[in-house]
Amino acid sequence: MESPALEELRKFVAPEFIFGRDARKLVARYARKLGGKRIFLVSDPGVHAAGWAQEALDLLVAEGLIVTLFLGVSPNPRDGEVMEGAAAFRESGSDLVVAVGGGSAMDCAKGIGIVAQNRGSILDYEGVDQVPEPMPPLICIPTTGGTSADVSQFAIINNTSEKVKIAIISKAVVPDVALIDPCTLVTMSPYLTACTGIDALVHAIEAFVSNAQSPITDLHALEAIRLISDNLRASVAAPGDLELRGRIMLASLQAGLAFSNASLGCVHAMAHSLGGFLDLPHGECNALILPHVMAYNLPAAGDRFRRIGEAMGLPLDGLGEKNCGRALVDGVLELRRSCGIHGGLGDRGVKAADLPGLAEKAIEDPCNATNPRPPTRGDLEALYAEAL
Amino acid sequence: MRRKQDWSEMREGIIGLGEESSRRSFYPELMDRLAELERAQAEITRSQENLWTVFNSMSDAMIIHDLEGRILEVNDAMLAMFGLVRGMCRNYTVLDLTAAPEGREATWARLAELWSRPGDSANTSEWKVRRPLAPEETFEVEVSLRRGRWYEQEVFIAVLRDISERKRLEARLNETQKLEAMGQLAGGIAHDTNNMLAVILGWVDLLLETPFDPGEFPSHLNRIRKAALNSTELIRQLLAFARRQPIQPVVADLNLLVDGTQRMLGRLIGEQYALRWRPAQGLWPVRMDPTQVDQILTNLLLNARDAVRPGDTITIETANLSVDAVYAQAHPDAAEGDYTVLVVSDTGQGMPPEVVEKIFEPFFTTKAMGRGTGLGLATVYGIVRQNHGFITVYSVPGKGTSFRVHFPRFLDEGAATEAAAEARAPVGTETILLVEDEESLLELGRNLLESAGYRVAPMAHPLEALRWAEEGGHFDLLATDLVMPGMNGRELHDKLSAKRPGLKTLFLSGYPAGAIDLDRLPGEGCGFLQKPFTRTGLLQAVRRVLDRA
Repeated sequence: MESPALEELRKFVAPEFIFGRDARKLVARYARKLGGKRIFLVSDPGVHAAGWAQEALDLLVAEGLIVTLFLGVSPNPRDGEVMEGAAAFRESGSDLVVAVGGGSAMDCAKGIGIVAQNRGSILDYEGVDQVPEPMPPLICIPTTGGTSADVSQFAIINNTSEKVKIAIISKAVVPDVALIDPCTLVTMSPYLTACTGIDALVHAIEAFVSNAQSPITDLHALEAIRLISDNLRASVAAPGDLELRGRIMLASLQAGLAFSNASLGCVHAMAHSLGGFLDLPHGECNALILPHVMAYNLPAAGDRFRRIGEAMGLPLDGLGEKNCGRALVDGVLELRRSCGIHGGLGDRGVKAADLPGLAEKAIEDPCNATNPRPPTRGDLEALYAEAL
Repeated sequence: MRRKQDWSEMREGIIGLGEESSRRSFYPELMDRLAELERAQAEITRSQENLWTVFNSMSDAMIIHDLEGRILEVNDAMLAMFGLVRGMCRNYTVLDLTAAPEGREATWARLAELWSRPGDSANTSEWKVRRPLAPEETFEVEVSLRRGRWYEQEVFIAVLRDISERKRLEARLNETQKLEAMGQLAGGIAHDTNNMLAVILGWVDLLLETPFDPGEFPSHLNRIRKAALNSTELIRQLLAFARRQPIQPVVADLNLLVDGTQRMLGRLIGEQYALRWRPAQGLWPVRMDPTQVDQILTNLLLNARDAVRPGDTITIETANLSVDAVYAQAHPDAAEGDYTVLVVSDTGQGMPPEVVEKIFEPFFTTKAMGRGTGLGLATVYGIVRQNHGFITVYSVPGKGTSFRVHFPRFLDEGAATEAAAEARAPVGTETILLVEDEESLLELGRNLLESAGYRVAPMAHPLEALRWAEEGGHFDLLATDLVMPGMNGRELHDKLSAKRPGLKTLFLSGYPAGAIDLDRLPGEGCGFLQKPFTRTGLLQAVRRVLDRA
């Protein structure tokens, strides 16, 4: 399926970003330039322990700014944490948000910004374009190579009472500045490197086969797929190699630019439901579901999947559509295994009885809207079953 | 295929070409808000100007000062009242504006006391203030003081009203009211006096017309004397009420003063009521005019008499009382200190609160027409206040009433109690030049003095007295009326003493305050006696002047 380029109006949204080594050190200058005087610094305890939050705090203080440090963020950030953060933001009289960390810290920071300006509950802003007023300036410093929240118009928050992750999709949550620094990746463990790397791969694949793809998103998606296929195994094996980290970080950025504008598909819809249910790492959820959704989607986007296989460097010459698809799924499974991600959902505690409930929630996720094959609740339940 | 429908809308939303997805500038909104703020700012400024105009339009002066009295803001009326210009005010404190006759420290203490009073509502007090640039120019203001906040600071907001004019008017009104009262009284007095004169004339006629009976004679005379005394009392009360009667305070034991009067008053009250007298031991001395104690006791006893029923008891007591701050707070007239208390209580009919409230008002009376002037308790009140004391009343209808009169304790223990020494009428043999233009009084005086052994040269005219003295008449004491036709007593004294240094003179007067200022009588060797006088009163006064060194 080749999209009819130029027949449809398309938009491409991206923040100002600085990519490269030591980009993070520009945080104080940007905070000041964006008019910040009292900075609300959002991070999580793990990233703080690794020293990245403290470094940012020291830089901001050295610039003469007043900093309030907020570390109340858990993996899969929760609605309650967002509300506490928003209260602390207002109480401290802050006027600018800096997020240092992975997707959790950045999504929580986005939620804090939304509530700080628009009041109400963070759950009020679920869905597309539901944020009426722009939030305070936001600077993101990602410390994982996969989330891409630093460039995306997405914020994913865990609705703890419903046990599901909600998606907030709005131009309002695109950060003002992203400082993307590969150096921050060296503190990730090999397994987290693998999970976030596969997350970036899923972003790129889902964006490429999305029914909202466009020529510009295609470029970034394919380049991200190529970079991850070529470098993720090596980076997992050599965590200290900054060159490899740089390539994975670049892949994550490109995947982020792609999916932020082309959106995602059923992998994310299912992973959001799963992550809300079991509090599993988002990348790991994606990795476990991806091969099954790819197989499900093959009939709807055979040509596109072939190009994905080519970008992954798989030998597909002469293969028919069916065999090409099988080779692609095998390629993804192999990459997953070689990065150290094994087993299925059953090994993570998911039971057959949980599947209807998971599917029930997953079918509500907006990511389904851009999946190349419109899913039913039953389809998603079957896909969960395959991933067990 | 509901889902599919939804998803296609969702896809459109994600692609982001909808109205709500478009990038939006908040600049116009920001400018609107700025403009709104500017309008609000302008409105506040105008409102401030309005308030400033109102602030400066008040005729009362306003001073906003901090808790140490430093002036923060004032209005135009304040500048006019104190003769200041705006820039200077911050250099002054409230202390600089307050008249400080007792010195800055004592004045400061008074201000501190005022500021320490609790409460959020305004408290009002009267102060004497001054212009900082002309500190000798003082005037009276009524200050209404309220706590408040001024910017971030706790302050006092003082509103000052010049009450000098009001005070003058009040004083004039008081005088006018007194004059009116005098007018009203005149009728009553005339009536009463006329009655007494009728009694006197009746008995005198009886005496003149009937053969002399040595057995009846003294009792007839006593009736005459009593009628005359009653008239005298009436006049005395009138004078006391008008506060024109000069008082002659002496340090005295209140028990002795009461003891003398209550015996006499026992008869006045009548046999059918029990009168109890309970003097306290170790009573503190007072400094009082004994006549005033008489007046107080007489009035209170007469009041009690009219309130009691046969079988009831009237009790007179004395006591010591120390008034502390708490007590003083509860009784507005009371000040802290030691007091000697005279209590007159009865077990009579008592009074309801609305009557108690008014009993000290002049001309308020519950008595039948002709039985009371309504001046008795007003006179008591006046006397007590004149002596810096206070009076309290407790009354329960049907149970009785108790008046407690508090006199300040006299603290100079060294002074002798003079009253006891005056109990008897002293006698003498000296020669007295008696000058009195009223023939009957001249005759009376001569008889009284001669009955005590004195030699008397009676003169009906001051010129006659002068001539007699110039012709070599010898005398030891000049006893003269103050107000006489041709030459007053003072002038006579001056003329006679020119040739007789150390001349001893006793001035007599019925109504001296208007004619002469007591303080300005020649002090050395001179005395003063209020008319009408008793025999004892006259003899004591004569002896006192004669015995002076």
